[in-house]
Amino acid sequence: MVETIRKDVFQLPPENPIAAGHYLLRTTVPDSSNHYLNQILIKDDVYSPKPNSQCITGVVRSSGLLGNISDGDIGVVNANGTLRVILSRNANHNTVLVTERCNNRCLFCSQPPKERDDDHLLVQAGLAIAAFQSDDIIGISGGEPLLYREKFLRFLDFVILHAPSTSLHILSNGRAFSDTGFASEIAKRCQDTSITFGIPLYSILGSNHDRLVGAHGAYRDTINGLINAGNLGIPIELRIIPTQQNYKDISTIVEFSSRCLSNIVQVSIMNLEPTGWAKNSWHNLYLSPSSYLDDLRNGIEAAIEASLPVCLFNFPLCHIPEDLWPYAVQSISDWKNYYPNECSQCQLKSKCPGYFTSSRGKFHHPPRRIEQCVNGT
Amino acid sequence: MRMLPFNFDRLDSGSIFLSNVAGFHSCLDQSEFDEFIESSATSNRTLNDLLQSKLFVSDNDNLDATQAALSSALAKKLLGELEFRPIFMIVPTLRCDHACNYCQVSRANAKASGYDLDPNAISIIVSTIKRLSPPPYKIEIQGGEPLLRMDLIKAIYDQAESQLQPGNFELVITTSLSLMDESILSWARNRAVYFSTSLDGQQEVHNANRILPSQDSYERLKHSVKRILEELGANRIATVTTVTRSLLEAPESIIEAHLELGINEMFVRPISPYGFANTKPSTEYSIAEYMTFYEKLFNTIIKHNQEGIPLVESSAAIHLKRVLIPGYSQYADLKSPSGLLLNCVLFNYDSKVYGSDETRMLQRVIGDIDFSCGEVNSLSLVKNDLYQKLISSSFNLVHPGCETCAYQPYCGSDPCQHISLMGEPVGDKSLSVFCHYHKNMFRFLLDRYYSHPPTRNILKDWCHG
Repeated sequence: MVETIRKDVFQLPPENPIAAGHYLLRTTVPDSSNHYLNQILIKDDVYSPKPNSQCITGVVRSSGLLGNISDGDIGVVNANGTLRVILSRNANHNTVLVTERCNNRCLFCSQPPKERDDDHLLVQAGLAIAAFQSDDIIGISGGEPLLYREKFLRFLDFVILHAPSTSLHILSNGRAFSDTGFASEIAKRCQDTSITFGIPLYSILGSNHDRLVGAHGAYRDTINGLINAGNLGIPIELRIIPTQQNYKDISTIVEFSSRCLSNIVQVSIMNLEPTGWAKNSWHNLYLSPSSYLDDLRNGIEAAIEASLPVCLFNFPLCHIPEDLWPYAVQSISDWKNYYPNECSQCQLKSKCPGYFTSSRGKFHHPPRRIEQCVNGT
Repeated sequence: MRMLPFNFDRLDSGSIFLSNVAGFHSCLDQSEFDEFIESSATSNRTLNDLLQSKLFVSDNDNLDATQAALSSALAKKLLGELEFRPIFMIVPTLRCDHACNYCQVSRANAKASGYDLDPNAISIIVSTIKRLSPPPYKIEIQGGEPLLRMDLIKAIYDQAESQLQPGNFELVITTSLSLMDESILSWARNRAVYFSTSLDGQQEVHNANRILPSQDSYERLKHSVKRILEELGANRIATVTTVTRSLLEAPESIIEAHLELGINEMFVRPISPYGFANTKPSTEYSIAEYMTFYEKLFNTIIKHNQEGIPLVESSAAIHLKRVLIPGYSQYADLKSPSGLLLNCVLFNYDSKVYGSDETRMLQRVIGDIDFSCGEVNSLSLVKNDLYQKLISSSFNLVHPGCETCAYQPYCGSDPCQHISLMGEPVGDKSLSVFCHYHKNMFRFLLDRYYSHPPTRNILKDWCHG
């Protein structure tokens, strides 16, 4: 295993097993019980008697876990005795998965969908967010969260009521917004709390978008959805993943969004993540940024012209030229982020997004010499 | 594939310029254009993809989405151009020390009385500005020659500072600079004060246009500009050049004048065709003559750029920004609906409020219609019938002659000019000076942009600089 920036999965010690489920993790004995989740106390390895408190349902003795969490983090215990920290006060981004169902089949899906009913995920996500009580942004991902329709509206209502300081960033393919009535319902909730939708658009050639997302008719829905959502005032982060099939479309996607769409708060151009299905056809999808630099630059230029904020996600700085560094952001979630050994001496490491932990073997495009303009050389 | 509505125009180079209501444009050569018209596709696949991405054509499956995108873009554009984002103009005095024979602003003699703003009105003007729009504010001091009433300008600045807060506004003084002195410079030094001045060419041309009894308008201007550059910096002074017949023969005089003064950016425009500006037939010329002049000027400016002197001509930049930059609608003369009132609120010396500099001038020529939206004490912008009519008749999308024009999405509309020359706000575009000027500018600039890559790079810098 490579060393991630933040470890998020822990094997629990076998003594005093904890039942599977979501928990509020405490490092000190709480005075009261939590409305949303049961609480477990995390202690170091040194044995001490279980505190006599009605407010906790169990104690985990693990220095490793204790050293990696903060009081009030949220963990999920699985039947096999592992604990995964899903909401962490130390994390650079927190994201909750609310469904694995999806109506797209993107060729590069990092979280391949499953058909089974998984409504319980949505309920648990609501409770976890309410118990976490963050005043930061929490990401909601899937699957396609908006497939829940009415249930998703109830989820938003629950979060707005019980975690009013929490902002949400929701990843969606935007297809559900082609239903104006549904889009209006979501828009109403955007008035009550800070919600942004991250919606990908891969081409303005309908057939190209449909091919990349593996669903006929997806382009129509997404375009109509983006139009509706924007016009209703739903803030949209427009996401573009350049691949061999659509790298030429970057600047036309940007010009289209600046002319035809409203409320685009950011354009994010994202380097492909070698996870999930992307691995299956990596060689037909991935393109080194150096081979489409002009397209990338034109896209960024089009965004700047239209006063759209633009960011590059997941591009190691040594893979792009210096003039694009100002747009690169440290976008990779810390639990799946690492820097190969070659990076240890790099002066830019602290500013660099680094790599996905899945970037290994044939999917890995190693760090390179940085081509930096130095005066006089 | 289904072709969607677009307009087109043939450029000098032979290329065809296409545009649609969403504001997308593309340039095809004649054979590509013929193929496209014939079969909704050219033999160049990359070009086909581009035309589809710019909504000139749609695949049948996604026709409704493409149509929705076109409508959405048109709505977005109209809403953007309907936004109320005015520059606030204040006329402290109509009196002027100059007696220019083509004066666009009706003026009064420097010694006349009854043409100055009541100092007591300043506080209410500034509070009205604050009430009308959120910061930041741009306040432009117009005239007459406003430096005749420096005391009023200072009072306006002080009121703005106390009511609008420092950092929230800038004051642009439109002046001939003939009355500029050291005390004004030191007053301006630590304030958000900028100067805009007319520069009509070198000494001979400028003095022939800008008439002072002492006949030294150019010398005074030159001295003042030099002092502003030395004391305040290049960002504090901008020039406007109005092209008169005498300048028509000498485009290089404009460039030389700017170089002589050490200013790299110029803003060159034809003389306003308003009835009141062309009282003498000697000042009249056709837009065709103007374009011959402009082409010479433009070529020389580009040549200077290629030789390392970074001159900028702002009229060109504004026209191209309208085409190249989605949502660019900051220039009141090039937007549809017109920038009347939406982009300008003018407080006249007599307490009347107008929707543009031109409407207050129209008022002087056409006395029997009230072109104001009332007095500053009893202002009603929304309920004003005249402005509602003028603005609603200024959507060029539905104007005869504009609806088939390739430059319509980028062009504007000037109801006041058409009233002045034709007696009604829409105007017969075949006779309209506004139309001739802007259409020829778009046509000329886009031709240069697309047919000459080195020029294109210079023009890109102008647009993004």
